[in-house]
Amino acid sequence: MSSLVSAVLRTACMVSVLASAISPALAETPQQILSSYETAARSQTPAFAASAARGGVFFRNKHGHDWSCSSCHTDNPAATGQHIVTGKTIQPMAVAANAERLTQPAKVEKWITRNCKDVVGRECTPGEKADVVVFLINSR
Amino acid sequence: MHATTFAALIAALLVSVSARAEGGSRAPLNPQFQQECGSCHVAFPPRLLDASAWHQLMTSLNKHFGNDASLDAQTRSSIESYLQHNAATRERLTPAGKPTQRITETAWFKREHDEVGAAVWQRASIKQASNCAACHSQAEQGRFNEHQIHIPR
Repeated sequence: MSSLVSAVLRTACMVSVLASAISPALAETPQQILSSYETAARSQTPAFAASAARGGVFFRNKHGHDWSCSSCHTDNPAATGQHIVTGKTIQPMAVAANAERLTQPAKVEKWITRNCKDVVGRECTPGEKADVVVFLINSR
Repeated sequence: MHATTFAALIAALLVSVSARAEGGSRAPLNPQFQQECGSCHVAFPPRLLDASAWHQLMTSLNKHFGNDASLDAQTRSSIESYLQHNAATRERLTPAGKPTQRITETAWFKREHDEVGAAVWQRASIKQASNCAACHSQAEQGRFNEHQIHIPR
């Protein structure tokens, strides 16, 4: 094998190793994340369409327990929040205020699963997740 | 001996003395631990609890001091290994000698903070004893040197 070919192969290999090390999860757009929750919701309710208005009500509701999403994230998702127990600063949830939000599906699913258990007392349905996601996409 | 070598020796000695004063050697920072645990609170130094307490804590993340802090199996196990590996080598018990998962309940913590009055803990700028970074300005980087303490009003 010529030294040029082997050098090219070596570089390609290094680039792919680096790329896989740098991107921990496949990045997606907020719209893609919304679509996958909507698709899941439609498998149960074929006419489902995500609603930002419904998502906003859900976000501010305590669901019969102690906390709402707003307890930590404030009523305005574009504002900086604060963890209600520890006081730690939480960066804004609205995509318009924080471009990192809703770009990593695994991260979104991890937090929404945990936080639904804390706030609602159970896991949220795909429809509820889609409503909150579109609310965060539309919030300014 | 060169002056620079001498200075380096002194610096190394100071670091080891201050690590000892903090109750153990400082663990290397772990990005996964910082990210997953540091989202809600200071990524507390692993040496502040013993291995048994970390195990209890890391196997009950779904009920984590009133919050659900569940992790996927792989992340959970990898963070627990880091904590176990860098845990306190001595037991971290309450003053009554009971095991605890709350760093602020350990006899060590209470002894280290015995000069801090009850009213100070309740200041809005501090809020609670687990808010290390309110006074320890380098807490997020795992540094708790006495010279970096600034108690807010």
